[in-house]
Amino acid sequence: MKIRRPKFNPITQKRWKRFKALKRSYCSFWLLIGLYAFSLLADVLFNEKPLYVRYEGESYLPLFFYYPDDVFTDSGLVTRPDYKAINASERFAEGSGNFMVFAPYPYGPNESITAAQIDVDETVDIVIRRQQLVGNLELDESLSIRRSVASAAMFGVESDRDLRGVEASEQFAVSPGFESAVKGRLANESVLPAFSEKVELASGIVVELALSPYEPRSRPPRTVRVTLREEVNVSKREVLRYVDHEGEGRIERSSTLWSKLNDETRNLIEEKANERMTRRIQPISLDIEGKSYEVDFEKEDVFFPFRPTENHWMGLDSSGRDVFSRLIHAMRISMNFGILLVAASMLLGIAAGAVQGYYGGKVDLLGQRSIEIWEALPFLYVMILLGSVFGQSFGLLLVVYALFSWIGISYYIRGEFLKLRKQPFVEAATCLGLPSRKIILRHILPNSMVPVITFFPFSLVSAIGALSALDYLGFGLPAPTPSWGEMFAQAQEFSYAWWLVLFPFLALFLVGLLGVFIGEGVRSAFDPRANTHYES
Amino acid sequence: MSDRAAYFLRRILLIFPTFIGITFLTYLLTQFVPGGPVEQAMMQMRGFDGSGVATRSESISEEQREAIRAHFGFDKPFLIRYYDWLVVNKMGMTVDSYKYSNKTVWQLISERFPVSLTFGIAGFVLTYLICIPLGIAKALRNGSAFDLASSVAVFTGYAIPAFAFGMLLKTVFSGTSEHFFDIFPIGGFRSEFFEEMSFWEKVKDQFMHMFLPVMCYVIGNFAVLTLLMKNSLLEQISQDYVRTVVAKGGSMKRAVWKHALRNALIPIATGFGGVLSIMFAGSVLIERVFNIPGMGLLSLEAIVGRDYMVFMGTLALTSIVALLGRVLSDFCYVLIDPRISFNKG
Repeated sequence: MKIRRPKFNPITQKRWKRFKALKRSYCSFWLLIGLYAFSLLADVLFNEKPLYVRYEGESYLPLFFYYPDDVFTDSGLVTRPDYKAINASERFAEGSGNFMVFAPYPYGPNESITAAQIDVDETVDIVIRRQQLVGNLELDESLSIRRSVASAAMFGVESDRDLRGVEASEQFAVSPGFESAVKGRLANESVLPAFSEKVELASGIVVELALSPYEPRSRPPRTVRVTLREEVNVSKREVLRYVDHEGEGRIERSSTLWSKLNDETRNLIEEKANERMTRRIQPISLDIEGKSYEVDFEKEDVFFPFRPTENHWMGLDSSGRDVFSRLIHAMRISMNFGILLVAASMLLGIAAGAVQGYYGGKVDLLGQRSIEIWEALPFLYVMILLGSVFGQSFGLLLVVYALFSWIGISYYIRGEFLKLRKQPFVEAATCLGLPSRKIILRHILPNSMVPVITFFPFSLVSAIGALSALDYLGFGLPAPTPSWGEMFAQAQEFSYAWWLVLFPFLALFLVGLLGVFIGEGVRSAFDPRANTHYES
Repeated sequence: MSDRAAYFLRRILLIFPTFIGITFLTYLLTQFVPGGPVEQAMMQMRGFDGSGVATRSESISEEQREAIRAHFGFDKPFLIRYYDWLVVNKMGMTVDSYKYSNKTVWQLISERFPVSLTFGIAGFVLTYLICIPLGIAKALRNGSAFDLASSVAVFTGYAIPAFAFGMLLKTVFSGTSEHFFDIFPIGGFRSEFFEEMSFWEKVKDQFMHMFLPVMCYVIGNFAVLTLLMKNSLLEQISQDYVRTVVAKGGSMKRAVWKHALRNALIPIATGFGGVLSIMFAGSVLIERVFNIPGMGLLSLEAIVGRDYMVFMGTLALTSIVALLGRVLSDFCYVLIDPRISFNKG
């Protein structure tokens, strides 16, 4: 049998040649086709279900058929089996010849991964910070201490009681301002109403002394409260690391502070760090050489959305779904949507433009006015209205969007038809008595297709962009559908999750760029001026 | 009356039926959307705050339901309601918003529209300031290394949806993620304490809030406008009259700057009409990304919250501006190029 290769007409061949000559466009064309093909295989490459299961001598294809849980576990359940759990179960492993073949990237677009399934470093950072000492003194008119609260450590004495009766001037240099402020308050007079100053205590610690703001009282007070705040560089901290080594933890990296601790305290810290491995705990306080320290135990906890990890290359979204898997599946859906949408809106646009352009006159005027109204209708609103009546779906979005996006193309077709209908070849066809339908379809349309074709790549890009914008606003495809726009919507809420912005952005950018390069090549291939020459 | 004046008079008069067509159809649509003000009011009566889903309504008596319907004017026939909206309530402007019940639609709109206008004008000025010189430079150095290098920027601008670019800018420069920079505020129109700031602080605050969103406005139109300028100038340069100027001894410089450029600007100038509606209506997407309280966000909130009157108000105003803009475009066209005739020939 002889297979006849299709022969394109010479102009088409020439155009293809010109398109090929533009390397950038030609490469983009095949790259985009390749990416699309790759995304069409997403179900096989990115899926939580195994591609093939061999169980007790029988073969199963979970990707294509549904098997109840009962088949693999004898549990009697008819629900969807958790293949990963079955694969890990002893019962499955024990049976000889049982095995599962998983997809190369074994995470599905709608599979929610639990926090426990994510590997994070089993290390606890032990952060030791100096803690600011804060205490109170109550002074009487002779500036001696009547009462002390939590101030003993600052003065270097055993307990607050030891400070009772001590004169302030013994402990620090009393400034005239301080004295007059205290005396003023004792006399119930507004002297230096907001007072604070830094002094060095006899113990060598620098503190800030502060008096509470002056407020008039009915009777003069007998004592004045002074707040002492230790000057501490809070940003200075020491970090030790507690690492889990095969079930046994140990502290890495010794430090000056660590060496000052006694065994008992060290054991306590290790115990706490070990506890932190499994649950969150409160920080503890320590006294080292009379100074107070706070010890905090920091460990990375798994919250969703979670950053990229070794297994999940692009991180996880707010429901614990794998972003990479969703990205590829979303590509397939976006491309399908874009291609169908552009095709549908082109059909509509060509039909409307052709009728208007060919008949002209009243048809044209009426058509233009209706289009003007139609164009101004709030597309988003119509989408929500129909979505809430019929439920959001791929088909509905496609239909509604197509009904609103044919207008641009119709303008061009209309223009071409208005121009061409006065051409001699059309008049000749009319004189020959050809019906309008034939003249439109056979004679004018093929001559006015150039703008349609050159627009295709650009329209595709803008359709994909528009879908992601709709999804971003929440009026696109229904909820669990993987979509780039929906990732942006999540990032709006979880603004720290850069992986929910960067990766869909790159995907949109890549598809957009390829589309634009292709469009540029198509345009130059179809450029009528390329056939004419002028000297310059 | 000249032909041209008659043409524009006709165009302006045609705005009215078109406007009525748009608002009538949309008003009709609002009548069918479930979850409207009547249903929301009934839900509230039954103790739902609007987020709860309840479809049965036995606990509300028929009279109560009628009272609610009458309160929102739903007891009248549709045509009368539309007439009330358009004429009696002046396009709904004097009606209270359903959601912000102490504010009329006009109050809400007049609060929001200066915000959109600020961003719109800044974006417009910057876009033209960048694109026109760049387009000219690209045309004059067509095929040079500079042309090819700047094309990268143009393609990038074409390939990226403005809102996605905005999301990226926000993530990288607003300090929301610890891995990146913290330079600009995360969004909004101004800081909370704007009123108490000194003049220069105000300028700085406004600039910081506007920088990223305006970048998005620019990138949205950047590619189209630059290429339009470039191609338009290239086309003019290859015209016979330019060759004539050079042939008669004029320099190429003179031919380009004095003769070709003026004609090349025609297609650019006609874009003004479209810009008008963007300035007024704002961009739903960019305003959503940066949480800018402008017209776009107002109409989005109104759609989501089924606040019909506010939504109809924004729609009516934006469509008037858009329709006027279209006439203005054609007018600019004629103003620049007197040869153009819109009469049937």
